[in-house]
Amino acid sequence: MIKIRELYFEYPGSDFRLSISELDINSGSKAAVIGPSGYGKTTFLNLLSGINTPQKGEIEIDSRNIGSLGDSERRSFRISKIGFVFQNFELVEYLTILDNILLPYRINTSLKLTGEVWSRAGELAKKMGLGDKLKRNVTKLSQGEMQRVAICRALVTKPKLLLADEPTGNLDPKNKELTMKTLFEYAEQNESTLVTVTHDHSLLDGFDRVIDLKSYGRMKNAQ
Amino acid sequence: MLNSLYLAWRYILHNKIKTIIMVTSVTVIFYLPIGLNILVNETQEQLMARASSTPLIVGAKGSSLDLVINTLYFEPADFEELTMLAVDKIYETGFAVPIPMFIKFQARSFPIVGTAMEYFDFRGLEIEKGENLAVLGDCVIGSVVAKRLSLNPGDTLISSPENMFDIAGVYPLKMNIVGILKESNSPDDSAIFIDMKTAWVIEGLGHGHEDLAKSEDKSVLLGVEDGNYKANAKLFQYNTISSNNVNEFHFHGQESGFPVTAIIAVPHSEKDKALLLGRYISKGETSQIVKPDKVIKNLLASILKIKVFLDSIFFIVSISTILLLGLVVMLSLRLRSKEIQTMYRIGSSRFKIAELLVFEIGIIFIISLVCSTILITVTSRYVTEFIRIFIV
Repeated sequence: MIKIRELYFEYPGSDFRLSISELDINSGSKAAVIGPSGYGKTTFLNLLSGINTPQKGEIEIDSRNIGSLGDSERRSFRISKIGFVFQNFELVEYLTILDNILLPYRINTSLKLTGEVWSRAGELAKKMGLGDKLKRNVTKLSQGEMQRVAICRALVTKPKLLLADEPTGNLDPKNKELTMKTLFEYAEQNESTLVTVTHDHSLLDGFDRVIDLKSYGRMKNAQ
Repeated sequence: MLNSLYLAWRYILHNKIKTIIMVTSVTVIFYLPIGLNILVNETQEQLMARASSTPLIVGAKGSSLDLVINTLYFEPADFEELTMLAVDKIYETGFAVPIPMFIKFQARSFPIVGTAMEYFDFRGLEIEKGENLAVLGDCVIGSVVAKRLSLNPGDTLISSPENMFDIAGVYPLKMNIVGILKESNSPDDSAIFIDMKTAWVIEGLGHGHEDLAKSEDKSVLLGVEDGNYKANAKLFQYNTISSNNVNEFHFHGQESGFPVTAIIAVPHSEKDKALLLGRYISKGETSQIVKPDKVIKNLLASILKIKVFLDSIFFIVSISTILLLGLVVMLSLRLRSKEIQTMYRIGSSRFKIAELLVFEIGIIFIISLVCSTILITVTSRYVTEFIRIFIV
């Protein structure tokens, strides 16, 4: 379960601030985060993942206050418990599909790259229709394929919390559907919590809950 | 650590052109100072070896360096000549064996060295094919000359005219190759050796022509004076020396007045050497005596001065190159900020990212080190032959 209490965050020297007095997201639920641009949707995900730490308040994930964790613990927590899917895929261009999927295991010593992980990565890629392209460089892939690689990378660590920042923003309808289907399926099958930032209101039906940041976040100059 | 190494390796393989440029730059920085040092040391060694084995050189007063370079390495030089009288003078002292040298002409870009038979003994030169000089017009060629010009005993070689436009100048002489010298890894390999008299024939001091008394064309005869026949330019002169016309060759003037460009003096002992040196001290002396090793040492000192200068320039260039490489790395980090940010957001530590970058630079340095080591090994292996190309 995600518990947010009296959260306050602002970027130093910026007009932006995000203030959430109370917000709970149940484990295994699928939540969509919506709101106009500049209301802190991405910041919200960054706070949940511990990339940013709030100036005030608490964020508890599975009863652990991530704000109280040290840098190293927070990174280990993030890489082992949280999967991140980015809008622009954020793949490492000099690596192959397989190497991109296995990237979390190569950049953090708390994860061990075992044979089981290799086969899991292969299976995930196969499931996403990339099984025969594992050795291909990611720069040679289509947008849809890139997003599928990014999803595989987010899922390979079997995260309990899956954060997706506009995962369908750059995709055609067919790939958009496939992406959302994969994320929903993963969350349901693994009882993981899915928090997705989206602008696309046509996708909201599939979510258990919609969080409109307009109710929580605000711009200083918008007051 | 292995994972970081793997990612660094993938990055390097993906960015081939950037890697090649960086590896080349670093290799040059590693290799040049050491390579240059090997080249300079070998040059020193080879130059000194030839100079050290030649005790004394006597020549006309002037540039001692020109004299030594001409006599030891057969490089063309324009300086005053001595006469055979100077050779006789050394011989008469009894202090040394004088070996006359006449190095002035070329044949197909190889120097023609007029000398005496003692030269071959002095340098330890042996005939590999054919035989040694015997009669006027014979020549013995070095192994490099034979190889490059594909010549064998029995072939001929024509001396190059000094000036194509001087019709009254020295006529080319067709020389008969009688022998090929064994390789000596010295400038002797690239030289054509002839007897002093043959050299004087090329110089124009000796010549052969049809017997005026027997000539059918009486128009060449200008007259007879005190028993001497005078002929005009129509008189046919031989440009080759064969058994048929060798007796027609003759010299005008006294041999003691014929030129030599230098004399190698081989003293019998250190004492004789000192005594011979003393003979050339007087102010009125028109010739000079030099110790080739001393002259070459002075030359090397100049080369070393240039090397120090080059080293300083190279140091500055290296610093600039390293700074430029640093700039390349920094700009590349800026270009890769998104990738670095992604890794950080996924869960990488800044230390891990730094490790990755250090490995990338480390791999480039290691590849460069390997490349420069290979280059240094190749340089060390072939430096002797390489320097010989320039010295020989």
